[in-house]
Amino acid sequence: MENIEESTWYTGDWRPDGNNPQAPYNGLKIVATANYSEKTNPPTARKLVSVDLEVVDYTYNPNGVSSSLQLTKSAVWYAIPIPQDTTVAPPEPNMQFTVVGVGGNPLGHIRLDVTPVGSFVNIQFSYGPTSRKREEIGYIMRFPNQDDTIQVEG
Amino acid sequence: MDRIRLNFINRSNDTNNSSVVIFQQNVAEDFGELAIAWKVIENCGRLDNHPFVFPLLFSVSASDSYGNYTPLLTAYDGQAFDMIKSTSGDILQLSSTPATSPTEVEVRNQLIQGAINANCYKDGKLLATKTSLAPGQKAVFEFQPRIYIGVVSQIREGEVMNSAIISQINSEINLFGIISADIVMTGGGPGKSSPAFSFTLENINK
Repeated sequence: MENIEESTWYTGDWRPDGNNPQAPYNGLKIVATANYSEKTNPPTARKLVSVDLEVVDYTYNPNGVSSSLQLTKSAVWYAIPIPQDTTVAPPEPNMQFTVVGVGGNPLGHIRLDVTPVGSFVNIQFSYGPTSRKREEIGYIMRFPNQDDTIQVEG
Repeated sequence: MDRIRLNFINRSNDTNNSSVVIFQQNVAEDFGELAIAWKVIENCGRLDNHPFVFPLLFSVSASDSYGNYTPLLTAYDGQAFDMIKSTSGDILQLSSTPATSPTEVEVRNQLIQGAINANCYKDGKLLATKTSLAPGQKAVFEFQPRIYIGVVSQIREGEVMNSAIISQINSEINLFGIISADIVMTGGGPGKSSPAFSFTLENINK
């Protein structure tokens, strides 16, 4: 498997010019990396195998609180895990990670929808301070289903 | 693809004949929490639907201190437009100098004197505005394929929404790569225990 494409998406309240001086420090970003199948000999188009996601929430932490997951199947909702706070013993769910589901669902969700024109990342979650949860739904980025770049060895 | 066909469907339990507002925010400049009510859906009863078109491109226009409005000009990413004084009066024209960023559109006040307002439109409706641009100043616009949608009262299309109104609207719908979709509203209803309004996408074509 080889990482070929990386894409970053930001929520609508993201401040590109820097964090706020107090919470909510910033919005949320999702960094996605597409993994394609290994090069072959003779070279063939490499297929999309999975997408690695890092969901980084800056609501209560100016350095961001990250949750990672990997999408391997199409049209399956994957839960966004609540990361552990490892600064306490024993580790416990990090309360600075505000991403939850919509409609009372405890966890936010992301999925990959593979279509003939590409693989789309589909989100469904809410985030932010309790006093102002923002809902995010819909399609945020697309990756090619295969990498058509012919790899010439040597 | 230069437009997205959207179809709002009211499957809520609303009994207040609520209006639904749709707007975008300019990500090129920090306007604070101000936005224009681009579309307001009114009197859309339970199980009614309201189809509309969401263009991906936008148009720009400028108005001068004399109250003149220029024609709408379609804007493409990276373009800039200059408001100049011609032999016929104030006109807005495509500039030979592109915008600073290839993802943004600029409207520059190149008049010797007099402030202008720079306006953006989608589907002929006001989408964003920047007012009181002095000579030498410019407005910068960039819109992502994302809409904000929420239930409001007493808002009309083209009106500025202040931070108090915007803070009630917390649903963002991302439309990247979508050709058409239904936006379904659920929730609401009488009584304090009624659920909040919620929006989902259905019948998505990419």
